[in-house]
Amino acid sequence: MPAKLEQELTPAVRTALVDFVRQLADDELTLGHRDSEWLGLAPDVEEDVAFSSIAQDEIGHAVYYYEILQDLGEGHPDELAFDRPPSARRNALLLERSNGDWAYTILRHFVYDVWDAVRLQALTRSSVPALAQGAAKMLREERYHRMHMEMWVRSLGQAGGEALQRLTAAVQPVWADLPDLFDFGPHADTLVSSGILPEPPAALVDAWAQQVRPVLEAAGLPWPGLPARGAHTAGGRRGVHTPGLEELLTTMGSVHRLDPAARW
Amino acid sequence: MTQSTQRPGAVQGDASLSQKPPVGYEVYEVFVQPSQLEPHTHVGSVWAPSPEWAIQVARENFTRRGSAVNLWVVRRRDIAATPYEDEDFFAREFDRKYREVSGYSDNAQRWKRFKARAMSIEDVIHDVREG
Repeated sequence: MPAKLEQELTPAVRTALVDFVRQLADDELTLGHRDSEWLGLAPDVEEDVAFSSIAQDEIGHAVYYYEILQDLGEGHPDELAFDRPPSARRNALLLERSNGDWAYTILRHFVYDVWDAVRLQALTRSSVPALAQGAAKMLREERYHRMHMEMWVRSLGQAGGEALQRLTAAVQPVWADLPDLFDFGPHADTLVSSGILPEPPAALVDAWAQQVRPVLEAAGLPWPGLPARGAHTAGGRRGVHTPGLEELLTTMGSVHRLDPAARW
Repeated sequence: MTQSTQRPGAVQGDASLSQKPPVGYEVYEVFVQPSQLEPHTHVGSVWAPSPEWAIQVARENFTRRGSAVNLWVVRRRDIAATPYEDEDFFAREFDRKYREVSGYSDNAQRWKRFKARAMSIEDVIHDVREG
């Protein structure tokens, strides 16, 4: 359970915090669900179990964030997870894309895991105790997700042939979604000035690139460079999503909607 | 399998689903040590292309529930083992009951009987001296 939010928040800071925790929660839930779609389909049975285990970790992290939102008076975690329309979701577009092939799934997961680790590292010093405590715990699990995905990226690249071809083909679509992944939404300045996010986004992007580049190069992929930084007017952090999220939410919530009042 | 005997929904026989390992994969036996005070215990095996991968997938497959402080993976072909065909290796042709502890199970009663008899001998000596 997250620590109780005790400090008094000004309305502007509160709004920024709610928006940011939604980003964190929705990122984890959305990717966790996409991961779970590989159940029964992963390259081998060992990976099938491993990937599902990682999916469950991501969902567990989402629950932690939804409980923070519950503390902030934003509703029950089940409602937050299943009942919000796409316009109320704040996950990055990268994470709602359909899984594509294994190479895209792995590359997407790897770049996200590094981003998540960089973001969590900063959050261990957050002015919000619940975020700081949660980040320290999640980092311990995410380290192994990241190690797992990194081994896959290297293995696919070093295998050459079709594996390298598919990995190379995955770079462009993943990179196209990076600016949206790196966006902190309309309240980014408030997040930094209030210490909720005690690190400017640009520094996080640099730290991300430093960790991703050597792995890509070890896999035999040329470094595509960082995407240009531009102003955001739309995208996942601002509730503007792709049809992929609609489809994901319909599937994910189908059991919940059979009887929303059921106790599990 | 012929068309007439195939059940609805049954998976068509597929050579790729046979027991042949994927290229470069090997079987690794997995041992988990639940705590520093306990030995590593064999928990199962995984297919993996390298020891590093074996550890990765063993972590998620065998240590998700329950605690662990250490994990071993051992390439199955590196394990020296007795052949199943060599049944004589484990042959027990003669009665080996004398090696089993069951012979000691009534020790307490025997000891009691012996002590009872010993005391009676002492009683005899005592009687002799007194007499």
